[in-house]
Amino acid sequence: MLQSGGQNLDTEPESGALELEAGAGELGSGRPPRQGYWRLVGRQFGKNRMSVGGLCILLFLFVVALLAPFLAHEEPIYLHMDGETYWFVNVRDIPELRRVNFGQWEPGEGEAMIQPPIPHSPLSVNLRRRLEAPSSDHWLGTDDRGRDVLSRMIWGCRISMSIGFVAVGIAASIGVVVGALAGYYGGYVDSAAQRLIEIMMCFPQLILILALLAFVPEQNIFIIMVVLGVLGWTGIARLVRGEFLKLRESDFATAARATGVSDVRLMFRHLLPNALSPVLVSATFGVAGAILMESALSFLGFGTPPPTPSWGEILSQSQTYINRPDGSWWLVTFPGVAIFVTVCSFNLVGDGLRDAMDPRLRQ
Amino acid sequence: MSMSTDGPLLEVRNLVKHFPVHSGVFGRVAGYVRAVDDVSFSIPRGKTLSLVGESGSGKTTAGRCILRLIEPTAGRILFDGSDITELNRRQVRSLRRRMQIIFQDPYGSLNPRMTVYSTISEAMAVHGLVPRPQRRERVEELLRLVGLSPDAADRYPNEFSGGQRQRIGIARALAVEPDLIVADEPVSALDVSIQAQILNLMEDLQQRLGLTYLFVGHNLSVIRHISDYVAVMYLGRIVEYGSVEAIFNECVHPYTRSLLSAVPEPDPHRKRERIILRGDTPSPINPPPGCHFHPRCPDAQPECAQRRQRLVEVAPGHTAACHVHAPAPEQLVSPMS
Repeated sequence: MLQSGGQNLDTEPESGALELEAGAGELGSGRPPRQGYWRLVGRQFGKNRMSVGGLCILLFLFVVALLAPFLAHEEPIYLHMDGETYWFVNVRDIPELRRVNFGQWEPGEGEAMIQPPIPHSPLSVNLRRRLEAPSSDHWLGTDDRGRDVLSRMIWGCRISMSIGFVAVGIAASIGVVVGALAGYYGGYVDSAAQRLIEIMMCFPQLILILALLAFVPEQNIFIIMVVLGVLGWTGIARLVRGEFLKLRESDFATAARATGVSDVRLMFRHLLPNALSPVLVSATFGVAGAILMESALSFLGFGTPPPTPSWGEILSQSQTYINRPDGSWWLVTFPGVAIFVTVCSFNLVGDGLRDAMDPRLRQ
Repeated sequence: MSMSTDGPLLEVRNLVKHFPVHSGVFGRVAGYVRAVDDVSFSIPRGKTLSLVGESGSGKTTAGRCILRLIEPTAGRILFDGSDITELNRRQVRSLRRRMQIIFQDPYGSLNPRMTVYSTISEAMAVHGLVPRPQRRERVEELLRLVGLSPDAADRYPNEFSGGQRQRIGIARALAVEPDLIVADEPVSALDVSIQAQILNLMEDLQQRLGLTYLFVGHNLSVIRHISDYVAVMYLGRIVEYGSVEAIFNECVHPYTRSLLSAVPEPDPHRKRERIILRGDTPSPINPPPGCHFHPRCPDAQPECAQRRQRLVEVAPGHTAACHVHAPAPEQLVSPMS
């Protein structure tokens, strides 16, 4: 039995007794560039132009969603009024300005105001300007309450993106835990999880969501997120289960077990990082699916409750006015294109990720 | 755990491992694979015992049973004088401070998503061996000990060659300062030139740290190089056991002899007997009755198919299980009908 490791271990290997492998000598000198896994994936992903394009569009949409108050709002970014200077009125609550309607207010003598590029709030109603076609004032027209469509689309981007990500976040968390337990423990745990997944997959998702929403007394976007998340984890759970079934037999899992690592640590620290690639791909597709599902629900009138702007909600208004001479085409086209482009981008990025992570395609 | 300095470090008595074979929709148990079938051996401290055999002979399963990575079906495993087959999960975890394993495949045995540092230091963290501030130093010390540069610690396994990875695997096993290391074919996945380096490293470490090895392998040249004692396994049973000299120079069992005759002979002028076995290894689900080896044995007698022969001492410390070449003493006195 070793009593003190330091004493026994600190001698350098003698050159005669132990010839260093050629590679050990290489370590100091010209070592190859660092090849982390994600670096490899990144390089492979960069080769796929469509996916890179999709990623660029998504990044643009994230920026739009983040900067919504600075892109489309009545309240000014900079205001000089009554001898006082205010900054960032659009994102701060300033009590003395609460009563000012910046939709009508014009700066007088010695006063100044810098508004965001689209000086319309998503919720400010102007019934005199209902259903106007795109013009220089309202770039993408107005809806049936005279609200600016572009402003609502920019704010709707926030809503749609958060629904997509939060729903998939919930779905992935449930899916990873269920899949990990099922795959790792196998046997009865696995059978139970598999039957549950099969039962859930039997129901058409849209109908199940509508049925669930019927039980909710008050609708808001968080409920939509949770419902989409709670019903969407089955695919991810199956993926993770499959990966865990494979990984738990691997030598490094046995090595960790031989080290004395606990089951939880083994599952989440050793196996999960190796099982995440397919989850990431599936989650990317999942975000697209969730956005699409939210739009479909809103279109049917079960989704985001008005007046909260979301793409599907704007789209749903167009149903009523499709019979007008101009067909209120701007209400159909712009949110439709936004949904289409976003969903396409997520799918392209997901495709690219899947290809980049596939070891068989890698050089 | 009691510490006795005399007596073998590891003693295995009548170890049995049967894997159930499921069939059909409802997973009915259709039979058992007798992977390890009544195996006994012991390893003195600081020595190396090799388990030799073809694939499927149960040598790897035996090794993993000893580590309690696979639960044995029956038998007793005495480690440092105390029975470890009865330990609960918690006790097994602390047992793993004293027993470690080195794997065959250097590519599969390291977690590709963990740096060398986290791989090696994990054991110290799990068992609370080295306080966090000193871990880095200790990991670098271990890397130096196995002949790697300390700056390997921050790199990922995919940046290393097979031999280097095997060194990392050895460093991980040494991190808990174990007494016993089960080396599960540690060199058979490596290039021949690198095999020698890893074997020398293992011998060097054994001398310096007083390690005891259970070496599982099939390459007889390697076994001869590293072992003190050899146990030859066939279909889950030990057929011959002895010191490395006894096995390689005075082997008795026909299976051992046929194995040894397959070792390449460097001297082209030297004549040697080459025994080529007929047929394949029988299925361990349904092994032949009596001596498992009798259908392929060149010296088989009718009674070989009737009864199993136990290991019988043919010389001091050298045992074999063969009716023909190692008859049991009582059989000479009163032959059973």
